[in-house]
Amino acid sequence: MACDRFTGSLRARAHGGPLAADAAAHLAVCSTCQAMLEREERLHTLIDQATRDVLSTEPAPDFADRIRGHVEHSPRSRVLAWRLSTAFAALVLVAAASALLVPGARERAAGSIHPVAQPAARAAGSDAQKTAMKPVAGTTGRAPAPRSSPRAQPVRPTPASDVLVPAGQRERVGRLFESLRAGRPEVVSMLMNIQREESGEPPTLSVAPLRIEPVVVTALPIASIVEE
Amino acid sequence: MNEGVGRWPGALVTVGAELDREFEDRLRDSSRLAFSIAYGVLRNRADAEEVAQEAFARAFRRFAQLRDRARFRAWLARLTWRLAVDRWRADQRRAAREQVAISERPFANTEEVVAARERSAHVWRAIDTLPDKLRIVVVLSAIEGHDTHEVSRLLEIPEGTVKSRLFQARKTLAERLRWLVIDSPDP
Repeated sequence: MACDRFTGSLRARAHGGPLAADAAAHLAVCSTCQAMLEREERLHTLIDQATRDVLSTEPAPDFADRIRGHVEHSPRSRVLAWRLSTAFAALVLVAAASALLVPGARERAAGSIHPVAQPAARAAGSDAQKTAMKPVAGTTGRAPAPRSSPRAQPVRPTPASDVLVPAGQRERVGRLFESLRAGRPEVVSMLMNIQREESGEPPTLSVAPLRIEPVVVTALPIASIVEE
Repeated sequence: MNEGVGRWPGALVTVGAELDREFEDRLRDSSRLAFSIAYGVLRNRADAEEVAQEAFARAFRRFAQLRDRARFRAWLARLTWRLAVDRWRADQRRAAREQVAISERPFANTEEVVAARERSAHVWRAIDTLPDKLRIVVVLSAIEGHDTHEVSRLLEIPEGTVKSRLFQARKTLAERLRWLVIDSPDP
């Protein structure tokens, strides 16, 4: 039937679409299509009317006042938050700068290193030739017991750790961590995960295959560590 | 809204008061928009007001970044829509939808009023089933004073995209609601 050809065009026409010339010519002489177009236009009018009717609904007269009240009781985080966050950032910077610059802080940190680290650090050169599976010198896992120090802590047996550092890099990584521990314990704390021993012992910092414990450092000039 | 400002140093007082004035302007300018969008989804005045209030509260918290009027309205429209749709989805079983408002057109009798309300309810149920990106275009376009250009500004999409989506939405609605005009008597 010829009308079927133009159904789509006429429906598109009903909601604002263009009408092709052949469809317009057919429409002019076909009462069935004229009736169909009228129904489609009525449908769209109904849809438009329904949407406008609903959306013409007004809020309550005091709506704006209630918004003000609601907003006033919300957290005031605009400028205040900006100020607070800026102040907090400044405090963090000041704390970090103090840790670096305050006289004596570095010396106190560098002045005492765990006695385990000293013989371990000196032994780093001789240990470097040993097998690849050995942990990096400087760890407490297989480090020799402290020779003599009233503050030396007993060496705890280190659980087997996965080897994550290539053999050729372990000595350098070990020295890096020793220097960090000596001078910048707070940096180490930030960089590593704290793992609590299942046995309930105090938390330690572990980075396989290294193990760094929160210890009181003994005297050792920083310069000697850096040179090694 | 300025109660806490007096405790702060002079510069902050100035900034706070200026922001408050601007926010008040935005409130007067856009509260009706937020309500209409929310009502277009929820069709419940109390729910729509709550959603609009929450949208404004969030806008207030971010107002330092939203001071430009156009940007504020666009952000508010999208946020209100999202909050309203979230609430609508969580509350779909709720039966307390208001009777769909019918404008003051001359009806011969109450039967026509009832019939008009039913047709309108069918229309809105069909709108509710549209995909979100078509649904929001239908709602925004139906708000008084919103042409396709204004809708494109609110949604921050090209006007051609608005027209295309509106065409698609109306085509879909017509397919779903055609039975209404076949069954209803000719005027």
